[in-house]
Amino acid sequence: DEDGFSDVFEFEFLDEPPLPCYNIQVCLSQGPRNWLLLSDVVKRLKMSSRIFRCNFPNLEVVTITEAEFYKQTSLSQLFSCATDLEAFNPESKELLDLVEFTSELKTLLGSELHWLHP
Amino acid sequence: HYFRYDEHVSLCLEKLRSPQSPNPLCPSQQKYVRCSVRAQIRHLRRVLCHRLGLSLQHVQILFDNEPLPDHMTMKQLWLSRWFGK
Repeated sequence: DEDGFSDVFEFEFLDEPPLPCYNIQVCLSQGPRNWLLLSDVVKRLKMSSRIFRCNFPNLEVVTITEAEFYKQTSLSQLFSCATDLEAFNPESKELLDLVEFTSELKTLLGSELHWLHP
Repeated sequence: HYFRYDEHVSLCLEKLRSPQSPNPLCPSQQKYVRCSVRAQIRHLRRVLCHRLGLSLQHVQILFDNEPLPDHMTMKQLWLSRWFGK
């Protein structure tokens, strides 16, 4: 792996409730990865999407339809609670921007990271 | 072993002070933790020990006042205690 961190557990410590993280496969050539909604991220960082994307060009942003987002997220047992997904429309063709949930983004959001070799 | 692509769970840790605790003041106020669903209670214990500067026998993770087994994964914990909540 490019940075040697794939086989360690990463524990993220935060002092405010974490933003929801979604495990989603965005293209067929790679498996599911973890993403945050860009709208959640910019709200917490109190900046616009445009400024976020200019300042952090290395953080990957992808676009997905709300319907596809809903379909994949609702399959997860972790989102078994109806209120988790009630804000999303399973039929919507609207596009959602997702930003990849990397260690860099976690740090940017104020988390402290702790790595552990299992 | 691509843990970083696993689904993640978020936990909110609440400190339960033991009467014989040598250091009743928590050095860290951070109480939310997020990690892979494949991480086990023993991994979380090790991380907490490291952060709190305590030895392993001084840190226990409880749910409803019951100690959680070391080999329980976060996914098992989630499904057995929080499913649908």
